[in-house]
Amino acid sequence: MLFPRSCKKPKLSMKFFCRYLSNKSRITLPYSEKVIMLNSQYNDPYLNLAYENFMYENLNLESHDVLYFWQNSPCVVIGRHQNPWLECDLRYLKEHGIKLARRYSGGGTVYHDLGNLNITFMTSRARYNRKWNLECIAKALSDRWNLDVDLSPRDDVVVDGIFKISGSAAKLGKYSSYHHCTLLCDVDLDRLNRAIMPRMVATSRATQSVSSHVINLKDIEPSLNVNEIITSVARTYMQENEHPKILSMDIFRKNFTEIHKIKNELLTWEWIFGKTSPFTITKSSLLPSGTKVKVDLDIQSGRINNMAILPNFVFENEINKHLRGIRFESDAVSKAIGLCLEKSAGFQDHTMEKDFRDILQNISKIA
Amino acid sequence: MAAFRVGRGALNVLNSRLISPVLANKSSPCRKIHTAWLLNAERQFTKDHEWIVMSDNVGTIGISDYAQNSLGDIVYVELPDVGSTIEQNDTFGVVESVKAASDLYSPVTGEIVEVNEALTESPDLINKEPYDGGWIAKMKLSDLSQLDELMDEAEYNDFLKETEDE
Repeated sequence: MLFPRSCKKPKLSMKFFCRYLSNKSRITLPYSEKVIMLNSQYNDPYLNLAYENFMYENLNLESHDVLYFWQNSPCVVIGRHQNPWLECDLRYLKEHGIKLARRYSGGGTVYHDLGNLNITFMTSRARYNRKWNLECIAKALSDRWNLDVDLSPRDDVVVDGIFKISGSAAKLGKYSSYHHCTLLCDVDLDRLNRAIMPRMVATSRATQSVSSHVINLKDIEPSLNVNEIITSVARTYMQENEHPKILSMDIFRKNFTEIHKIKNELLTWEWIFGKTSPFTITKSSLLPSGTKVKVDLDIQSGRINNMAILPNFVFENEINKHLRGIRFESDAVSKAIGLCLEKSAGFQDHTMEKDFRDILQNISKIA
Repeated sequence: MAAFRVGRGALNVLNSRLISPVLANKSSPCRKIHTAWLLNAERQFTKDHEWIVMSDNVGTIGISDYAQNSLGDIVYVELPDVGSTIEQNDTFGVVESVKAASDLYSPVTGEIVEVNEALTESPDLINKEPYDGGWIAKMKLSDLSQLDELMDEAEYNDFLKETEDE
């Protein structure tokens, strides 16, 4: 068994569970419209996700729905219960300045850049209707640009029957709910494919993504642009023909402090990496002495909990002393391995020293 | 989890699981004992579709058959920390299904004394046995009178029918 019973599950601080307000104490926005349209003027993924969560936790959605349009600078957004090590290429992200965020909703991993449009359909819990929202997008696109857009049996928005242009996720609460989705307009598909191509495989219980063939809307219809899509989706959702009134995030000026508090939580290492459920990375290699070994790295709450070498290796405990409790990220692991090498100098047996160094090098390559 | 709206099918499942065993086993006294346990007259429900069964001052909490049915296949359960204190109506966990991540609301105020670790390996236990192996957490209640606000099974079934008819 890979996760022995004695293993502790990741420590989830209660602060990650939101304080959900009853309907009475929620904010009622001072607008008479049935649908409030918002378009974020920011491109910071953490801030945009914070606005979304703030609205979910605090708005009274009994008298109106909120349609929230937002775009992020390059980033990878993983689902609430996903494993970032197994969902994306962390090294590639770092090298290319692509941010990594964990959202509050479930579902799979997506890549965002300014060629992608995010649409959040926020409604009361009773009015939650994901299918209707997606049909609204499909209708908006096919009516305005005469595209062959439809829903797949998995409720994905697809073009020409096969190519996916949108990914969905949702969050349901007692009073409020949202369904949000991406819409690929003009995304750097090469970066998308590289960023969400994992480098590692492991045994894990985290929610896994389902990969799909994707396409940019712009490649099918070069004339379309994000602003026109926003207008078209907003009109279709309102079922009216007039030009929709679209507001900026400035309407939440008074709630700046609360929103930034959520943003800061979304930015913490504990939320992005530490919230990952336990997993084990296994690496087999052939040592210079000719022995075949298997190294198991057991990761809990994003930190190395234990390293096991099979068959038994005399220095296992010594290596564990340096690795236990450190963050499972390349810099921290390399640093620990360096210290371990320094402290363990002065081998009598050269074959064993070579094996020891080889094992350590292998471990530092995993992270 | 609140106000689920699903088709007639869901309610039929509920009826067949919970109500028909009683009718079917009326003639067999032996089975009746088992049915009584299954039905569990003391199980109480919230409008958000959580249930609680008391044993002394510790309540076992889970989600109803109706709730699991509306959510669809459950893929992940985020459990609370043992030892944490949770207020009535506060979120104490998240159930992620293929459709959405749904917040869990505590029917009562108390301290978490145990969580169902089996859900980490098999979250689908909630789908398979919502009233049994799919329990979520055990809580030591700080105010037993909060139980008076909850519905018994018959009231909950009526509540489901009302929501259905709306």
